[in-house]
Amino acid sequence: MSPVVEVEDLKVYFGRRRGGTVKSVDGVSFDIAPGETLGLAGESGSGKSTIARALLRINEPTSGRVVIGGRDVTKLRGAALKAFRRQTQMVYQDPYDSLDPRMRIGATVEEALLVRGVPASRRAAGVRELLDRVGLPASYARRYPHELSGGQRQRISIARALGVDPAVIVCDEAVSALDVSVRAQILNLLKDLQEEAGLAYLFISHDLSTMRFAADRVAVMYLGRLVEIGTRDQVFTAPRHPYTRALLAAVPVPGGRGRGPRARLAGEPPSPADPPAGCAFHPRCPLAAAECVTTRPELRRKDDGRITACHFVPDAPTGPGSEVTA
Amino acid sequence: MSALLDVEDLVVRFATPGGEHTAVRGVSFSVRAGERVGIVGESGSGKSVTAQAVLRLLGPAATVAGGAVRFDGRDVLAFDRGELRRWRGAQAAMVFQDPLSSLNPLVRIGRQVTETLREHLGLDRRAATAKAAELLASVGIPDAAARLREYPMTFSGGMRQRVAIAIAISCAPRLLIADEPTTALDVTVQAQVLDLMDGMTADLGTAVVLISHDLGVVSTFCDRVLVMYAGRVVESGTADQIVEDPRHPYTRALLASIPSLEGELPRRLPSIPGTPPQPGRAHTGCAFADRCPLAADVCRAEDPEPLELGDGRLAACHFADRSAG
Repeated sequence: MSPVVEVEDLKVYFGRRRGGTVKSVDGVSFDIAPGETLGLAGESGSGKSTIARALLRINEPTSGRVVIGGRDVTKLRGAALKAFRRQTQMVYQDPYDSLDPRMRIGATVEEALLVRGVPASRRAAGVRELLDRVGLPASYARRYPHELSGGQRQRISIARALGVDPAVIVCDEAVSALDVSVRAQILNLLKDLQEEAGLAYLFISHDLSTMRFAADRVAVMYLGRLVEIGTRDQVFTAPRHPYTRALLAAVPVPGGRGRGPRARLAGEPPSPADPPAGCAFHPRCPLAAAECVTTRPELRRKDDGRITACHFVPDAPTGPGSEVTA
Repeated sequence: MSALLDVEDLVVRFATPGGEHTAVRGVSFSVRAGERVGIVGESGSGKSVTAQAVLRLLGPAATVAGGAVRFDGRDVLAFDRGELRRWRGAQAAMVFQDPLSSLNPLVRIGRQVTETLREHLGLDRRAATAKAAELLASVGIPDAAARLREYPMTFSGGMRQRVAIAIAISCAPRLLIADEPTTALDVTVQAQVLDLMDGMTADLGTAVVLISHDLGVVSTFCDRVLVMYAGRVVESGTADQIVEDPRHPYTRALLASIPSLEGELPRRLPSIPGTPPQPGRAHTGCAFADRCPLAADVCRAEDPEPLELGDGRLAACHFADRSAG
């Protein structure tokens, strides 16, 4: 089956008022299969939200290709672009910001059906069905966003996203602001909907335990580039890149440690406006050597079949397939 | 042994346009010198309000409607302005989630650090500046002397939290209350800030009350943990007891709903139905009954009192003595 999302060498650069360029996303490639969840992990400034916004053409890609459902969306202009933007849906961290506070829930959800061209006579039933799919009673259609809890508002943004019948939904920290007990409900809902409708998700989260539950494959970003990509089990059970390892080690797990230092990494992620030369991770990397300061490691398939960008993980024997697009 | 901080049956009410509501409904706990106590709970559980009440930092809409707060045997709720000023900063300090809310954005970092030092330690300007540079260096801020002249905005989130911790511990307080101190930080920076708080408070013998929604953060930092729900402590015990053998169904459900970083994953996460109650919504019986898998008639009729389970453990559940099974 061909992927629903193909991203090829995506670059999103921003000009700065004081001059210079911020390479927020700098040559990222991945794809997402139908029914698959690709997790994007990384810390603030890593560029994960910029990727999400570039996919939906909220941020203009500087170069590269984004193909969604077989269509290169970077080439869309005018009316086609407008239609595309309405058809692609994103679920944000704070649904309160993305739901119109003056609109009743029913009208918000109905808008999505309108975009899809559902005739007026069938829209009321459509709204009821969408609310039902996200686990809310039909009576909620008459309510306003402020009358709902955070979890219920997030269900509404999911209902609205489903309304356009998308092949892929971008979830940008969609459960991060929710209480732990409510977060689990929404994660389960996303999984149920995926199984029902074969939806693909691009799932962005800084929370790695959430990521492990939600994602089939995980891509780890550092300063605008992918440093590792693999199946969930590969990345969580045997991370290859020193950054992935440090990231996982820093997660406080209930009952998971005795006394002793937590931090494996010194310093903070550098500014994407002024990334270090060579491997962007070298100033914080416990393995950094001279080569890392001068030469940027490319994302390569390694000897064990894993895909990572680190000089210290030996490459696969050269031959066909050693150059990868993840 | 007498406690450093003793909170007894604390009740905090808020006046809202919709009427008065009770955010903290009879919370009791104590903290011994040098001990680390975590308070974990979801939004509206009353954990932050409890901390603010203890340090007398409640806003004008809130009042302490009952209970006692004693520090070293002294009645904190009876402190006058002068006593409060001498106590806060010197003996008891606080670190918030967003250091920008405690740092003044318009005042250079140096002045904000030296202010506390001059007030509580009586240092002159020069001595205070030297001590401030030393403090910033000790919390891992490079080029500390130069950075004293900068404003908070030029510091990253992690660096600002380091400054807030430096100010909080500058007078070697006996109690530090930290409210979600790492929630806004990236996970690698969170680890650094927790290490920093760990080292600093251990060196000074400072007791810590750490408030967080994150059971991982709390249980790995603290000796003892209180779990709050709807304005009450529903369970307390050592961090190990809470994580390995939770006795309140809410604690059990909370732990189960966090996906683990290793081992088998369920296809669906065990989740708690419904949402945490709106603060102040009146209810009879146990506040968790609506969401609880064990709820019986008695739970809807009677709010359970904290039950002693031995080993200093408490759980407020009619079925707390029933094992996790």
